[in-house]
Amino acid sequence: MNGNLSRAFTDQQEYELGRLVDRAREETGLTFSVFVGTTPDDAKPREEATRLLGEFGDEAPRVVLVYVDPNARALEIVTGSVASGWLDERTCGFAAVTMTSSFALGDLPGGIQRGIEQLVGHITNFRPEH
Amino acid sequence: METVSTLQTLGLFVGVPAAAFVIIAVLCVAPSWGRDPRYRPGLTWTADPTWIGGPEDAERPAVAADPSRPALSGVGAEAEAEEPAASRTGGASASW
Repeated sequence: MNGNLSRAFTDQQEYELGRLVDRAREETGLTFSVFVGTTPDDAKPREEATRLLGEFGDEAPRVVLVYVDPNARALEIVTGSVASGWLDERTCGFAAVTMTSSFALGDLPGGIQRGIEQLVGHITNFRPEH
Repeated sequence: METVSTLQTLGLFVGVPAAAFVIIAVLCVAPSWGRDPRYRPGLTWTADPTWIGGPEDAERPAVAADPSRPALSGVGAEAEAEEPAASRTGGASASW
């Protein structure tokens, strides 16, 4: 009633999103990561998302980070230098619209899932091996 | 004629409607008690931060380092050579 949640997702939702990012990594070779939380007061969502990407260290260039701040109603898709070669701004922008249209209806896990599937689909469709 | 005490009168005309009111109210609210945590646009989000596929996930590097995944063979080499980690990022921003 008051929106007072201690956990962002149920066990089931978290499990399914975990499966989703595992599968996305297997299919694309990129590391997909989903962060849902509140941006600190002294930072902007984009800055914070970029900082989180940096926490991947050496792997950061191959990371696609989906950063969701439900309070700021902000979504950031941050791609490392390698990942951005596969996912240009246009593609990320389309996925972002897919996600936010679900978020606006209150469906966080569904939006994240559809957005990531869209990004993965873009990569697998244009991979030369296929 | 049977006499009805003040207490019985109160019970009948105040207690019974009040009890019915409470029962109906509980029936209306109860379904949401057992429901999953859920984001509702406009309400403050107080859930703990959740990071799925974050850098501390132990089993992650095994697959990421798998050389049999040729998905990024073309782009990776030169991009990683000229830029240190995470210095050049892309992506998109959106709000709702």
